[in-house]
Amino acid sequence: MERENIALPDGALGAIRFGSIGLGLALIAATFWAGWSGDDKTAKIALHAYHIGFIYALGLALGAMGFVMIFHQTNAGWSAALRRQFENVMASIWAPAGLFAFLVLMQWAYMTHFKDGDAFLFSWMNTAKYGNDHLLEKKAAYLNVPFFTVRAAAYFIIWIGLAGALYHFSTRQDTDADPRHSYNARKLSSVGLIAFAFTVAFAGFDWLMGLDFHWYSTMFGVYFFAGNAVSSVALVLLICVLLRKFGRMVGHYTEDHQHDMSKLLFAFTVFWAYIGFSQYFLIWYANIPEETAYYLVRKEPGTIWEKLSWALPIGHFILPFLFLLPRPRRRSMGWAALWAVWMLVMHALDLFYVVRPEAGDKFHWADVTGILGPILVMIGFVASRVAANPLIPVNDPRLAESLGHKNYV
Amino acid sequence: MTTLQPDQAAALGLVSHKPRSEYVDPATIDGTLIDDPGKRAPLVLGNRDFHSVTNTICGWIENKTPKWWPMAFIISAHIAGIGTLAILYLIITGVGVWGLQRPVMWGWDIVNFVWWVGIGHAGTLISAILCLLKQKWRVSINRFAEAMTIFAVICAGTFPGIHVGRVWMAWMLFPLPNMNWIWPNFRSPLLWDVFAVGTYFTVSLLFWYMGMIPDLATMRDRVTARREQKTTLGPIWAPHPLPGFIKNLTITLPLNKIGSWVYGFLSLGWRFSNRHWNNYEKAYLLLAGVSTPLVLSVHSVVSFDFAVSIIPGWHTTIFPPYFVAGAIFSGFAMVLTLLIPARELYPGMKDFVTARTIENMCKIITVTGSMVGFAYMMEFFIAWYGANEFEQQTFVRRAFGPYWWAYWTMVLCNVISPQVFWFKWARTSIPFIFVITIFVNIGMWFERFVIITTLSADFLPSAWRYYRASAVDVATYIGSLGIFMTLFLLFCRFIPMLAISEVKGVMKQADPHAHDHHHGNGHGNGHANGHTKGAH
Repeated sequence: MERENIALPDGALGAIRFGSIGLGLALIAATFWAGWSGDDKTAKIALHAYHIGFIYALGLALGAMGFVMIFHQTNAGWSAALRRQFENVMASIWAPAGLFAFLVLMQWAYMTHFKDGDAFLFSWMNTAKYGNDHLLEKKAAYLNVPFFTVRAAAYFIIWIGLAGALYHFSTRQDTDADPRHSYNARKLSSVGLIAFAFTVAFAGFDWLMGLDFHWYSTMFGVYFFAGNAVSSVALVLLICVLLRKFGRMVGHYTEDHQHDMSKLLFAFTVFWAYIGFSQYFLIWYANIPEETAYYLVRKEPGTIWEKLSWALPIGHFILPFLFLLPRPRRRSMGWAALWAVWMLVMHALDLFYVVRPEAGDKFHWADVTGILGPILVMIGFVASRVAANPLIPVNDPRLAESLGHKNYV
Repeated sequence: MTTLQPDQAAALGLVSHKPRSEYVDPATIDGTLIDDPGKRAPLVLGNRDFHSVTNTICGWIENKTPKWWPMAFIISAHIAGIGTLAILYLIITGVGVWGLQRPVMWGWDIVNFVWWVGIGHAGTLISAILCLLKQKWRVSINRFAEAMTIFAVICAGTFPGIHVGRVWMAWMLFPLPNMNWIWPNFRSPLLWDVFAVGTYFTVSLLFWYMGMIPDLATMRDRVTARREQKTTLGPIWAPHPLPGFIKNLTITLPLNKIGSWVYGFLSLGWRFSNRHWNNYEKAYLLLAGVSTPLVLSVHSVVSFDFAVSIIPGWHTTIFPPYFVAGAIFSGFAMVLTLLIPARELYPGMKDFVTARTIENMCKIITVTGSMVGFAYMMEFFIAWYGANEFEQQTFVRRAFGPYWWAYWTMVLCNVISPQVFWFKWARTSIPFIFVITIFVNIGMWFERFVIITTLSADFLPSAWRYYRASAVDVATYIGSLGIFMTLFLLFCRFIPMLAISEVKGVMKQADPHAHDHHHGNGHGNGHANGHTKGAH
């Protein structure tokens, strides 16, 4: 009985794993085909849509990795029982790595297919159009293809290395019960968090801020992290509630853990709003041309971006803030799961808002397939991780403390 | 031994009869964090019971004034006096006595303002955010840190007030209706400062006072029991021989009666009833929730003072979270700067403010210091990436221009020095920690100095000028330190420095599920407080 509670049967989640990955790949293929068979404008849309999905998948893994390292670094007791779910999402970093490789392939294919067209994800790569741009000349030492490639490779090596080592420590402990793994994980996390801070910030600069190479904001790395933190907490919360719904982790994921997960979701929702507001507000107030261009596009009256400019503060902050504020709603698994889903959707809208305006305001069905494809692949990877190991780190030295966790007051 | 009052005996830690090893794991006898991930160091050491906790903490107030206290108080009060004179001179003469001159129109005054507001962040972070995060180690330092917050914000508030030049017009900072229909500029971040700092001060003061009510009531009960005892002060000690009639002068005052009245008034009729505790806990949690956004908002608004402008080096979007991290960084450093001597001077304090507490604080200093370092690097990178020549020039000038010494002092103190706390020996060596906290205090002052000296090279090169502070600037700054220390020493002398009830809440005896139901010797001795509290 006990074993059933903390593990899924062999071959479980098969439908989700294969169905999700299969469907995801099919959608990605359709997206690619849409761009290939259309004109260069459609190709650009397909690239941007796929990029949103890729960043979404990557953000889930990165956010979860940040939490795992923070839990280790702070020697957190309450979270020990549910850390495994964060680790499952973290260890799925291979999915975004593969998705990125496909992105490179896609960009290369379109580049050769539309020789004179504007089928570029990063406009600075389009030397035909921007070769004489004054700002690009100034930034050429950073924004060039070889250095960009080296950086991307370095990010993934660091992330995969960190995720692999942390996952290894945790799963090895399941079998050998050696508390030294926890100690090692803590040591690694201290250095890991520093590497994480820089790689995430620069990945944000490279892959999101760099979409419009004229624009810059010192805050952007933090903004990228804030969004990832929200989406990864929401996903893990959802996984835990679903596992509970199917009769697992009873007594391991209690109402008190639920309460704390909701608090994390709430806190990072507010954090995202704080960072987003500060960035917008300072740019709006100073009103200097090189910065406001970014928001000018997104506040163009009558466009969908303008509507999103209203929808995001309301949907990504005000509504979840008001609904997650009362204690009973945070402790209720049903309500919290509902808001987790809501935040996952909102995070997609947020990325849509950041990425998509760079490809113009015409839409194509590839927008839907491009965004959903990579996300479905990621879900499939996470599901196979969930099925592969015990649902809790069974021999974690802090497990007893975590199981007895109570939220008094 | 016989000359000791009972409270003194408790304060000196002499009431612990039993060998320590009976309760405390020998590995954690000093409360340092142990590396074994499954174990937690105890929060209160020294085999204490509830009674001895009350006696020790109240003993610091009730016992004879320690010898160092009057000396420290006199020195601080004199320094505060110098500051007051400097301010008086400024008001009489005008703001010209400061080193301000075009183009540097914001000088030490704004540096001091931001520095003090930053220091004032630790208290609320410890009492509000760490409360919401259920970090129980905070209970031994929260009262202390909150007091520091209040005094730091008082010092901070002085500077913009006297910078307005015509101090008698400072009321116009507030949007008060007046006959001429003159309103402050609502789009000015300086007005937002008035609201942000004002709100922060009010809420922090309320939070501090509300948390203190049960302890003030404890003081009231204890002093009322000795109500009729009169206190004899004197004879006066002086370094030089005084005439006999002064030297032998003693004065007898009904201090206990006064104390009973004052503590009685301040404790607002608290009677330790269950209902009182229930309301107290609710209010505490609510105030913690209200204070948490304030910790972020105050320094974000202060950062807007700089960041909403279009001055190169000032306008950068990372300023709000970067200022908040820096504020927590400097606040924790200042708490440690004050806590470390207090821990040595007050007997028994080490049992509460354990090596574990100190070690945790060192770690927070490293984390926030690294965040600040991260922000410095982002600023530099984006200054280059933004490809704005003025921005780039500003940053090059910061590091290699006439103020290079300030910049590298800042980097050394803020980014490099806290990195030593990666090593356990550094986090456990008290004198070493003290030195580092001083470094951090200096570094955070220089951080703001580096920002304001950006002004010395504005868009018009013929106007460039090297900014120097005047003697009045220095005296005002030193004086604000004196005001701060004076207030702080008064706090140490008259208010329980540790939150008695909260400390009891994290003790082993308070845990209803503890395996040994050993409730200590203090149970049922008439001091009712603390017993009603469960795990907080």
